[in-house]
Amino acid sequence: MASISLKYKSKSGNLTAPGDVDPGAMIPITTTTLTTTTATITFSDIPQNYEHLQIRGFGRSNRAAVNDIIRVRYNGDTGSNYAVHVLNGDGSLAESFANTTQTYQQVYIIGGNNATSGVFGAFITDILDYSNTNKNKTLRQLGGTDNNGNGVVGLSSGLWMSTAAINSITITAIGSFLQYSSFALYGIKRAGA
Amino acid sequence: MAYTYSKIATYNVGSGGISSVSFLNIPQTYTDLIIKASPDSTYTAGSYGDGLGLSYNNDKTTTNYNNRYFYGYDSSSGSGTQNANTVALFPDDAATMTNNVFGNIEIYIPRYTSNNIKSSSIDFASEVNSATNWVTGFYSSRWNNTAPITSITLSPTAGFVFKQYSTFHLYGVKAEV
Repeated sequence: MASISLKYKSKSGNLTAPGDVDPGAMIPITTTTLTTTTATITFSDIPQNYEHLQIRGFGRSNRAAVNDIIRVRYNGDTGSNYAVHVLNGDGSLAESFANTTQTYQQVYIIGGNNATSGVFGAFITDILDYSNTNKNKTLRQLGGTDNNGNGVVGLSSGLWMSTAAINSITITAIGSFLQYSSFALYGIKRAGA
Repeated sequence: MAYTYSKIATYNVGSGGISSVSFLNIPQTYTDLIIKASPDSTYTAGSYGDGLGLSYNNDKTTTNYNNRYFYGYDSSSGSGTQNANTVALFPDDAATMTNNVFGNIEIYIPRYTSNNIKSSSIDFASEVNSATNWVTGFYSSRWNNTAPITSITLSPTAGFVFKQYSTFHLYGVKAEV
């Protein structure tokens, strides 16, 4: 049986140096996987050479409830400059609601400490044109958690009323994130970049 | 060799805006396509934003398209269907909107080179700094045609233009085959 290592393949399929490899449009920037209970996750010094950002998360907190809620801030802004809009389903009902003039974007549900052991929540967040200084920043987030009897799934959107380029993202919850919670930041390139 | 997630084309709308954006001569070498769009429209009468029209291969007959949607707005949610090519809502210039807020839209088009009817899934956010006049939701869209997709055109359905700084990005996804 023949085996071929793809590690050093270039676009043409020829072997080349690792530095010559074009990894495509979606680039992993950094990942934080917790080994201990942690209150705050911060992605700082975010490179400005991508077009979009994506966060893929897997979380559970020590909040004494079945669920907890993800909160997001940008560039350390603690002012009342955030809004969030949510479409949720809990297995029987759909609901929509808004929170405006907030000091963070309270965007999504993860598992809490009263959920069944080992139950986490999962989400994907897309922030488009994060470095474009002509736009207020929006996010779109899809995710949910299921605790075999209760849970939530939904789509959230968030607005940060600032045209500043995003150079840091802070993620918290009502409780603190538990071990094995994981948050990965990706950069999405544009054509020609 | 195509990579798993590759950038194909980008369009940034310049001064004066533009009535539509087309991706032509789309390579047939990927498995799926993804469009990430961040548009704004000059439409002034859409209190919940403008619609995003999606056409394939220059087929502008909107009745060749169907969609099914599920969305939240204000403090309500709803679901419905249309015989039209609208696939999302996004901010416009109505008085209810917030300045300099653009849409956040992802369109996923699987197996675009196949000889099957073309389906796509879309999730979108039309944000506003208010508890009302926002919309976020999903569309499932169908083009009643089996031709491989070689071009995609995006346009505001109200007939106005995409504003300056609107952006449109086309990506290809390559599956292992």
